[in-house]
Amino acid sequence: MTELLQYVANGLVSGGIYAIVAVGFITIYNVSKVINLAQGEFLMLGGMVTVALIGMNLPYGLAALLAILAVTAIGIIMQKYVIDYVKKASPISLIILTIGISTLIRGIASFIWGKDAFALEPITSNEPLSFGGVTIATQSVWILAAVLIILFLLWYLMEKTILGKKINACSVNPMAARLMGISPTKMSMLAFAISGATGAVAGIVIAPLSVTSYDIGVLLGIKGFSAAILGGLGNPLGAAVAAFLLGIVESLGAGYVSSGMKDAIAFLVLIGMLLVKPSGLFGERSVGKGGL
Amino acid sequence: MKKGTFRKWLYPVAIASLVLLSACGGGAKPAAEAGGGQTAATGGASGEPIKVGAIFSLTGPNSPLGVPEKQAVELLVKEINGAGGVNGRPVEVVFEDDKSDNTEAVKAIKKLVSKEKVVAVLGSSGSGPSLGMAEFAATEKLPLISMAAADQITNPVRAGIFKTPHTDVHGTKRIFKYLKEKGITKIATLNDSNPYGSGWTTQLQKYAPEYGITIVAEEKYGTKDPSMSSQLTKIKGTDAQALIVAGTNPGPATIVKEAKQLNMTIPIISSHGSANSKFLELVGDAGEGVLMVAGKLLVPDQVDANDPQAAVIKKFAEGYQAAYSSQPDGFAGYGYDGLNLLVEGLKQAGGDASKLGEVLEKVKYVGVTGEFTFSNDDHNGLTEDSMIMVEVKGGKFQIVK
Repeated sequence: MTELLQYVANGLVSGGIYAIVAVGFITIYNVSKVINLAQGEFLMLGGMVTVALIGMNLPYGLAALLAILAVTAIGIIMQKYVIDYVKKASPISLIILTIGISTLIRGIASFIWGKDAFALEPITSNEPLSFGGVTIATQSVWILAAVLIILFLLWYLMEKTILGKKINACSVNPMAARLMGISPTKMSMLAFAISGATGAVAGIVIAPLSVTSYDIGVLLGIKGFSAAILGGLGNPLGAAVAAFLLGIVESLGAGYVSSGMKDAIAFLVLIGMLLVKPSGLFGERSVGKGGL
Repeated sequence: MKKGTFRKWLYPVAIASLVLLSACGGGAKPAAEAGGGQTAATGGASGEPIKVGAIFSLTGPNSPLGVPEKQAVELLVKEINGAGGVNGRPVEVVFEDDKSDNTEAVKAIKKLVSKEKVVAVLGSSGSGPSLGMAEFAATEKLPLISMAAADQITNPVRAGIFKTPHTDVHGTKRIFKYLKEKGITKIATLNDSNPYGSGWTTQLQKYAPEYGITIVAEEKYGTKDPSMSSQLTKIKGTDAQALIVAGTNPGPATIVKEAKQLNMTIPIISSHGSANSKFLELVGDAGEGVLMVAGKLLVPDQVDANDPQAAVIKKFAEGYQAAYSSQPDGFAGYGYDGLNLLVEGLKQAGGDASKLGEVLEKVKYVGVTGEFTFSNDDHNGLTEDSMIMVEVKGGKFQIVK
């Protein structure tokens, strides 16, 4: 029983990471209908820039803050100078474009920092916490807290503020939104900024658990993307639930079936679920909606 | 309507997933240093130079192995030629980069033979490229000394094909010897699922009964996995008395950190694939007490003065430190020993490279990796006794006596 709970706890932590990535995908998708496959790279940059700034003797908090700002800026630049520049392009071209950007970011990162992995100190103590036999790292609490805070803030922004209504309006019908004096371009830029910031936060909170390197974004990007699809592309809450599910299935698969087939099992479950419900678990109000 | 919109998206999404997945396979970017066709300077000796090829992985995922190997060889060439070369003839090393790729390695060795007319080849850094090159060298009767770990390079033995690093067999035996001394009989293993880790898995299974050891859990992880906590949870639930980890960094470092996060108390023993200063940097405080099997070069200042290798290790470590302002790692040592063996063989063969294969089988050479004693059925020449057990204490490697 303890073992089962431990697997679930491990799964929740990795699921939390996937959730932040997935929510980043959806924030951008909802507003601009672009699937930003450089989302994993935002996360990598968050961790790597923090490590680099701490290496320049900046205090932890300041380094993390600057890293978040830097990645937010990269998100905005990416929207302004690439995505917006070719806004008439088809979705497939835009997706390929974001893959290009992700490869470019990875290339630059490996050029600046090399291919080695780097360690980041935990935010608080290194001592594990124990709850009735289930042990988790203190850092995992930070990860889960970050996920919940990000989800809450996004929900608040989208549902309770005028800005959120504007973003929603662009998502539902960009033409009508424009007629009402809302600029879809600005809203899209905002979405990229939010994705950059949340990605950077994720990169910073997960780095201390293991290590960070120029290529960690690839795998996390795929997992987050899968969660976004499974949750029904377009629904942040659905994506978060799907992400936690994916994390737990992975962990149970590694524990009870075979650790060598961990990813295979997780993706098999994913394929199975999508075959049964092609629009995703919570997909009734989502796929392909909007101005496409 | 719903079905239609789904179809519309299926295609781009499917393409995107494919591209993402394929991008996942080859993350290699060329590093700044490229070494195609450049030659190391010839020094004091005069006369017709003896041309030797050296193929290392200078770019790509194996570049952390290939770069120090090349540096060690460059340093040694200067020294050898300064001391008169081989029978008065200087040695000229022609470097090639295999980009950590099997096909590139074979292309490089063909080029070295046909264009540069080299008499023997060193390399490569990785097991895959080395196996391809060995295949070609064996048919061409070209002497080859590899710096890669896989046992299959010299097993079965082929004329003229040798290698310098310790194999997973040596590492396995050395760890088991240590466990036997400590009275540990039940172990768990958590190895990388790549060829290096799988090799270890096979050898650990093979030799466990011989040392009276039972493997109670045998787990694997993927090289790029961000977390191995589920595997560790499973191992924690068994009655294993020690955990053996085989992989190259950062995997083992992640495992050590996560084991601490899960409050695991059994000793962790990591393979020589992770034995370098990067490991210490990555694990931080969590590394205290971790054991590792390694070559003596890992702790040059702790080698016993009576050890036959002591002098050669000290000399190499100091020379390398002076030239590159960094400690040489095991890979630098493999390159150093490779060229030294080649030159030693050439000297004994009177400069005639065609006899190199036979001569090397009789060469006895004390290197920085170990004491090499080749024979006609052993082209690696090392034993597990040239490996040491070290423990991480106060953020440094300490020899376990």
